[in-house]
Amino acid sequence: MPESLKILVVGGDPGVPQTGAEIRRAENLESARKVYREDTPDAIVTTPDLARQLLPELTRDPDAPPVIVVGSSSFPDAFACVSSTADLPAWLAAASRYRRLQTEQKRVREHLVQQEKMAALGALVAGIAHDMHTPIGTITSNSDILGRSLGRLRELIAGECCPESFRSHPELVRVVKIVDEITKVNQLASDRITSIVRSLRNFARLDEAEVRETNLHECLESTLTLVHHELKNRIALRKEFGDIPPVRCHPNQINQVFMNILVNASHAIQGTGAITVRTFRDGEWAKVQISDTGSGIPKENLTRIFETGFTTKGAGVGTGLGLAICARIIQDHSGRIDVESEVGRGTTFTISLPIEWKTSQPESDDRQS
Amino acid sequence: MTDNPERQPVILVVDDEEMVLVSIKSFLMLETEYDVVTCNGPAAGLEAVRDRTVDLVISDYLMPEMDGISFLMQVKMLQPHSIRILLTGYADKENAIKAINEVGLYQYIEKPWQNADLLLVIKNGLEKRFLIEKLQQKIREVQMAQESLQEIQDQIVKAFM
Repeated sequence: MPESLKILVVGGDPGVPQTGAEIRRAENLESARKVYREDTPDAIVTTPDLARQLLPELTRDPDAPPVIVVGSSSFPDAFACVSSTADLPAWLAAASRYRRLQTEQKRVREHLVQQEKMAALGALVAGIAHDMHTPIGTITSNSDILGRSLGRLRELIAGECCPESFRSHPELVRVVKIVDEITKVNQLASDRITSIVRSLRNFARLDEAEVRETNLHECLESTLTLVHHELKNRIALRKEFGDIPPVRCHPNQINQVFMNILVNASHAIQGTGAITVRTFRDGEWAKVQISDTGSGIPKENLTRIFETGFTTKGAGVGTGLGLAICARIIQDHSGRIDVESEVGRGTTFTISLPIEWKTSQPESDDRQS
Repeated sequence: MTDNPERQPVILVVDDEEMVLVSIKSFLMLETEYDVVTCNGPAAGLEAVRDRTVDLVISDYLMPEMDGISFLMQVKMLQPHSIRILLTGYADKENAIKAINEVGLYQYIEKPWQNADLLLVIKNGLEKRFLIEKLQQKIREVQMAQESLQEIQDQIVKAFM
């Protein structure tokens, strides 16, 4: 929220009152555009002449700040047209409130877009996971059959009806050894695909979009399978699962939170390190603690990490939405998300969810507030 | 586990995916002495059930002509004593559980399936099937014995009248 209003005055000073606002001036359109690009103002005050050129440019942008035209009343696109500077303070105060709502609306819109994207992605993932059942089932079954068949072949080769010259033929021994090895590898590979697909489908959980009693350990297990490729041999994973009862929640949303924090944790660790996932019960709360031995978060950033748009990752890497959405999801569950961090030592996120969550808010209310 | 020595069990596998049929048939041919019949759709499956006695039927759930539950329901009408198993994807699990009661399913197996589990379910299913068969045989024997006993009793009664 802008503490002090940033006002851009374009073309001569109509007499903007000194109200603690930060005032910048631009003599002409060219310099106005420059100031606008560098740091978007919260309100623009201008003359009728310049408003004629400025307004058409601005109305294209839904996030453009309110424009107040001084000395004319013929601009329907302007936020306000005032005839004398005496009216300016009231209109600037209104513009400030408008700007605040506009920022909030933008945040909500981004949040919705991201949620829609996640929902579409979830549907896609669930569809793919479902379509993969048959081929994966077949491959898994077939590698098992191959293994069993090879066992039979070996018995036959070892049996009486097999001539010694064939049994000890180097080529036969070699081929049997190769088939044996690759069949074992195939079995491992298909087991892994099976477990990944199972995790994907648990993660997406489209069939369970509603609130239900959820085993958080199952959520964590399936999410951990999916982030496995991020951890590999680089990061040791410690699971310290305690005794927590099933929790009423949206499992697909909670999975998304775990995923986000785990991926962040693995990104925070340069080289080798460890991630610890702890769960425990604290009174009426189920707590999930995810700690990493990564680079930590500097104090000045610690209060900002849950803000929309805050990211320390390069452009195109982070969207600055991940943790903001996590915070929102946990908030919607009447829970808390806390963070402790020390630069150079690591970071711990603690997610607290009420075990008996009362879904009081209707679905449509979620989008406001 | 008691393998039935008296006759070769007949297994019918129905799935619209040829790859599943080949895999299951190959597995059963390798591990068992069963007579395995495969059909790539419920219509062909019903024809097979009309033609001959089938001890155990494994059916996929999602198939173009009709779903596996309707198919197994028809199998039940044609051969009430057959053991019926549904092979189903995760998303259809709830339907499968409902069907266990409604259609009298013996079991459902989730795709992707494990051969060892499949074999265990089939063996147990067949055991149940043959136990029922034996039981029916015994019931028939007891009934026949009872009838002849009744006859003898009638004769004795007549002789004394």
